[in-house]
Amino acid sequence: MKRLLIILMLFPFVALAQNYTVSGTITDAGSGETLIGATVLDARSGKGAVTNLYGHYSLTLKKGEVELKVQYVGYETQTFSITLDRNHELNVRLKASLELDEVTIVGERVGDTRSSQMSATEMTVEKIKSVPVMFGEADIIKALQLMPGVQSGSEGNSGMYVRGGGPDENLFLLDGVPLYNVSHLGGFFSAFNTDAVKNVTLYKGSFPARFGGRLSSVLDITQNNGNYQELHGNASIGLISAKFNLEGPIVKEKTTFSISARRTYAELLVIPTIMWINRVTSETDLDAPDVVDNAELDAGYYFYDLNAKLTHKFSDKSRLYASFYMGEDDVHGKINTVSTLGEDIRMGMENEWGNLIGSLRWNYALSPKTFVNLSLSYTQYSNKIVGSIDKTLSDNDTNPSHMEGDYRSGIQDLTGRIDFDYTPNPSHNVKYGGYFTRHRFQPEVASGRVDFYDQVQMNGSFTMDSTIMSQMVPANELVLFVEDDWAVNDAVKVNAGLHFSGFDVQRSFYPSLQPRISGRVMLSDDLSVKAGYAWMKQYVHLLSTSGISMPTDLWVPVTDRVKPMESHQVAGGLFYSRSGIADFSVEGYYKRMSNLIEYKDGATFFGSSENWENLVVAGDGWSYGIEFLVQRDIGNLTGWVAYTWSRTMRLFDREGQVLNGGEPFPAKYDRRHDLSIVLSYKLSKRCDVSATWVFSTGNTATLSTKRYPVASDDPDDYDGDNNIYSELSYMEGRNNYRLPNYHRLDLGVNFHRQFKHCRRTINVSVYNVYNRQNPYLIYQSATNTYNGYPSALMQLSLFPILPSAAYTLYF
Amino acid sequence: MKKIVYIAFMVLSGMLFASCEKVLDVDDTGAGDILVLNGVPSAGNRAFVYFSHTHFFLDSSITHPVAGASPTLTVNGVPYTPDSISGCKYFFPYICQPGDSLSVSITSADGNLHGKTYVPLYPEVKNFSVKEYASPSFNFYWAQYNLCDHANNPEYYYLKVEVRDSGMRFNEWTRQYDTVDTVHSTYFLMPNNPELTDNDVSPNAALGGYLYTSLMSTDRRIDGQDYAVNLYVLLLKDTNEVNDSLHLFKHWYDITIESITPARLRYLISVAQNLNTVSFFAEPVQPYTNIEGGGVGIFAGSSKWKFSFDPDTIPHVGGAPASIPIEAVENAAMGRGRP
Repeated sequence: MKRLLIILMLFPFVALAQNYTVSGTITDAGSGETLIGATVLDARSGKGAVTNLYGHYSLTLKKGEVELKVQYVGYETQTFSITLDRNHELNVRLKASLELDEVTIVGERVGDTRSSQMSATEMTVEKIKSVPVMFGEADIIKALQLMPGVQSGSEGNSGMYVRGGGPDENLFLLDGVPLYNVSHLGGFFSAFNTDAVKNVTLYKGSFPARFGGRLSSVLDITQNNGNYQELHGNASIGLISAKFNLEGPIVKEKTTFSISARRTYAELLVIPTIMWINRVTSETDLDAPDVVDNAELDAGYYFYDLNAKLTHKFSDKSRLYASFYMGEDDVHGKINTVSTLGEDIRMGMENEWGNLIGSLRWNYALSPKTFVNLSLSYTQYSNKIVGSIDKTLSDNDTNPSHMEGDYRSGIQDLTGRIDFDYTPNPSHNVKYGGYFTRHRFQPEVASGRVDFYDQVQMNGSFTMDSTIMSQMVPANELVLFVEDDWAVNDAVKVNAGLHFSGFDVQRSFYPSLQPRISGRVMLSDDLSVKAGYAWMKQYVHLLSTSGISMPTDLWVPVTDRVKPMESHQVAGGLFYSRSGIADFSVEGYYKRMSNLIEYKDGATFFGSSENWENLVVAGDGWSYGIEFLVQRDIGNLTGWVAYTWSRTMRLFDREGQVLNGGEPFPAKYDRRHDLSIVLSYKLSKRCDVSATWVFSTGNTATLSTKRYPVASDDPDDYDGDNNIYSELSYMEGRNNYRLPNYHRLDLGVNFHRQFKHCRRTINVSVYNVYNRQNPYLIYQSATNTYNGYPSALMQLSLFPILPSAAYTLYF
Repeated sequence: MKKIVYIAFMVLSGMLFASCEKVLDVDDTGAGDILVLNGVPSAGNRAFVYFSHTHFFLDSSITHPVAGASPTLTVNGVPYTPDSISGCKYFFPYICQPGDSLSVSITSADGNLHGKTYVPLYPEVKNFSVKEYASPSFNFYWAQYNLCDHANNPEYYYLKVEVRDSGMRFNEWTRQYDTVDTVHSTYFLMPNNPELTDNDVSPNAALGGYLYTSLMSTDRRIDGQDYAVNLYVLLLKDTNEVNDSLHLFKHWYDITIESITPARLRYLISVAQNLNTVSFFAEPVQPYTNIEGGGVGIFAGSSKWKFSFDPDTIPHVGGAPASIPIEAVENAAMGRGRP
């Protein structure tokens, strides 16, 4: 009996001891770049694993003979036969496949049929670059806006409105570090240089527990590590910008670098216009005061991005990464003129805004089953506006007048993070960890200086300094999470987790325990049904105008009065993958949001942000919709068709915080229909063409079409006497008006040519091929008439047909 | 070659930065127009109401009468019917007095509206005086007066300073003299009156919150008191106002203190927000209404005290006294801290 008991007690250990783990890193044989989402499958048992963000995998199998197939799209499959009698380290270098044959993917990528993750999209850089875009500049966010459930704000805007959420409800991660402002040129371009990017994944719902802090989406972008073997790069010049990318080894097989830079030269394009203005005003006798005759104007705009990354491989188990990103926009203007009093006047203005990111990460395979990532990161967004006026009476003037003003705002985060990736057996992949962030919010600092000497009227002089500063607001955020991707059986897979967050600001602490769950059931080898639920909380808000991305947008934290935003989202769908044909999916969602903030009626961002809490009200919202997606990634014809039907509403009826009379109203970007068709066809190895057609119902706007006079105690005021008569607008409801529908066709063609040591691509594209006048904004104009009325409601469109070209050299 | 490149750049720039405009179709059938009733019975003035309906926003005409309207004004229980009508205005044979209680009722084929109000007591202003000061940067007028509030009678005050310009003014653009006949508001400051300025009822604060074009305040801190008010009216020198034998130009300043009802207070605040054209990016504010029956507008009484002065007749106190009022004006004008 005793022996039997001992055997029974030892049995689990004996059983476990029959399993061994194969682990390692999958890389590109040519560059040494790690491959994310590559599959390692044991053909005999059918068990498999997928590489993580760092190219690492871990697969625990029973002792015995195993046949491992390592696969990745676009690469040749490799097979290894191993006698598994101990833990094995197997690092694989996959060769790129010259022929893009049909590859049977037995494994899973984020959001595909077999994955437990739904409401997610993984996009390759090649897919992004295949989309014809404005000015020939491939853009990650513009490409994602063509996916179902993701909308752009307005014409040219690179803001993302995901499943009814606002632009501040998206978490943008660049190598795991949050980026606060992702727009250049007022939102026409994003801050992501596609040449520096390796992988892009967008989560719209069913968020894994490791993500948090935003309600509507997570965009996880991984930068290239660099080429471990040889020096490679590319340089590109387009209509308004140029860029280059260089990567290569510092120490072969050990240390590599990647650097990418991009700059626009839009200011050069406006030089002729400015020269023309200056010439016309100096030569033409307008019988106007001297202030116009002698005015000299100078203005310009540019932006740049710089991405850099250094990777050092201590061993196959240990790597160190140092990442850096810096991007900035600058708009400036100067005017020199002479006043009627004979004073030389020089006026200048400059607005700079941008991001700075730095991070240090260390990966280590603690054991065959456990992988750890430690990181320390810093992110900063800042905005500065400077203006000055100088006045001098003559060259000998010893008392010039000077006035200057300065406005700054910003946010800084310092974060320490640890993540564990634990794969005890093929059925479980457990991720857990946590991070701590120290935030510093600086909503506004404004200062001014005046040195005034009234030489002309001899009224004396004075000097003064003034500073208006809103208090810097520090805040601390702690996050802990655990999630398990559990293959219950061959048909059922579940990802369940808990996300704990605590936000400490001013005198308040906001803790939250957020459950997350998603799962899939395979109805057949090609067909699965999925469902998911996520509870999300957000502790920061972006105070901005409705739908216009501006550098003056302010990030502010929750406070004692302004509570964290919250959302509950459920989603469900069917996913079908027809091998060699296409992938199909249909997904429905419902999202309920609370503690959303909006500006009060009549309030704007103009004015001191010190009392911004007094300018906003809190309310609720809900959004629901259904998304259809058909996509094809193999063969000569690739692309996708995405359609979304959705509805997004807001309700602000809390006491003292009423908008729209307490009645529900559509959100600014409530759009009933959204359709995108993106097609790319490879005519030959030297030429491929692409086309994009988009259609969406118009955005909403608040438009009052009814007027009535202001009340007065003087009867003559109603007749227009005394120049007093004025009229009020009767507000029929917030966002009561629907702008005309938006649709547009873009075409592009790429010409490739291979040379001995390099290859080149010429891209020619046309944006808005049939010159559709899509609405950007509306206004009332007194210079146009309508139906016999002396004024008209006008629509302003931004971009007509726009051809562009770009030349890229790869070496 | 240079010319070709130059033209290409111009065309490209034009295409890149050109914008297109289009006239939009809008429903102008008048469907959904709403009845409007406005009335501001003012002490010492004849009672009248304005009755019309809202009109299409592109329509520039300002008279939209409602057919078959029949208004009745009841004052202290005594009904009155209009004795004259002009367009949308209905005049009653009654001169309003402070303390009157009024209600108006209008019936028409398009609907019936009602409103109620009272005429507040006159603001009691004593010892009013005005002087002119010159500072290195500004000339301004310093008005002092005592505002005697009525005890146990919660009131709201609406203070504004307007400038009436008439005469000839030099136009810098045309290089000619224009005939001017306008009324416009001007800036004023009340630095030493926290009981009147330190409240949140006024929407018209500018430049750090201390310069106003109009100020609404309550009497809650001065209720029943004889309160001293200092008012600084700013005058910026304008060299285009030439005053010679050929081009006579005159300012007149009107300082008005108006007792208003709470309804008129809410209405005036919402009007200022609704008309605020600076806030292009703001969601517009729905004007307040106390009209019953599904209409819009306001029926709210007021009583005014007004002082008009010709700046040329005001005693001039020269120099730049180092006292607080001068600094307060300059600091407030520059947006620097509270005096």
